[in-house]
Amino acid sequence: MSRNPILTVLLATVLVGCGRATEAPPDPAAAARDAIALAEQRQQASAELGHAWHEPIVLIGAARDALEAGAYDTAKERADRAAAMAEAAIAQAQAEETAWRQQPPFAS
Amino acid sequence: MARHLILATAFALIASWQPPASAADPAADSALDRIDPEADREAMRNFYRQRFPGVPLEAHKDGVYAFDENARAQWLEMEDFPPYEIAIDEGAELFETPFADGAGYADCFGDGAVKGRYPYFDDARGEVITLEMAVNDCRAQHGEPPLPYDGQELTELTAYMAYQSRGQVVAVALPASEAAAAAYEDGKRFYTTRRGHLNFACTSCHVQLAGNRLRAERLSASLGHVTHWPVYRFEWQEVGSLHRRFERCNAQVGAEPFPLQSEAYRNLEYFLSYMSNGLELNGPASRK
Repeated sequence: MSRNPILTVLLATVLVGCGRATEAPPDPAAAARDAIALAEQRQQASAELGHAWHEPIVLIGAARDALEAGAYDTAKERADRAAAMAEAAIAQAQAEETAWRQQPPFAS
Repeated sequence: MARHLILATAFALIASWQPPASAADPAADSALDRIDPEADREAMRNFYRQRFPGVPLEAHKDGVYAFDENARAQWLEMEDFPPYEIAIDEGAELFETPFADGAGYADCFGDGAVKGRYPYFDDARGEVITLEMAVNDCRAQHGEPPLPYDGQELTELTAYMAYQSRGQVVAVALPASEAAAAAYEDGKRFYTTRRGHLNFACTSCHVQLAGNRLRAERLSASLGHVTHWPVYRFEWQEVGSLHRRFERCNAQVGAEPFPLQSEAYRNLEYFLSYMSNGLELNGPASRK
């Protein structure tokens, strides 16, 4: 290992450059698959709370169809929407843990 | 002196008086302590008394036809040739058809006039038993396969049994065990919990908006929601069950529905039935 700081910096720059040069190009299919997996996970979590919404299920199905058809961007966009809606369903379940007691005509 | 004593006593009495409160304690560990079904029922009845002045509470067994005169007139005309009549006839035939072992529904239900007994909480089984479950229990006792809860055969049988039970009243017993209280509380929670992407609870439509129009439809009161099932709905073009209506309501607000006769829907039926205690059973019926 060189003790010359200039050589060290140069070596580091070359190594970083090489790393960037070998970085894999973006894989839209993998991104879509990851987005679908995340949406399914959140959808399952909302169902376990007894608060599943219907639309995320439809969107996940539509995302899978788009993935099969090779429309990866569409698949990811649908899966992202499904994940966001499932997340909202989870938030609803958490809010309703106590809010249900405040509904008329029973709220005191 | 005596006057001061009387005044002091009166003041002490007034100061110590507290308004009557619900016996329910939401923070209690025991479900029996957390619920007060009679207070809930009275709160619901008071709400509809004020929301629909002039409409007797008992009239809500007819749903929106209790307070929408035009709709009621059309409905009464339809009752001359009720669309659920065929279901009653089919149900009577099914009721009389013997099982393979020679027994029949009459061995479980007599003449079929038993709707007033359901739903009830069975402490031995630890769950709410509905009429539909009881029919399948009867079949199981006699070696018959269960009927699908979304099938017409079960709906026709219950249509006949509802017809036989006309004139009985809803009479759900006060939950007496911890498990029964938990089922009641679960049903009440389902009723008041917002669901789906529309963020609606049952109460959103049937309490807060009851009597208002949703597009061309008038929203009914929850009092009387359980009295008239199964129902011929023009939307369905056939007779369907109360749980099928629950399923549809959940779907309408964007929630993923629960299976028919699931614990969630049976507990909801148990709670709603308690709310309608004392109302006349008048099924089957027709609704838009």
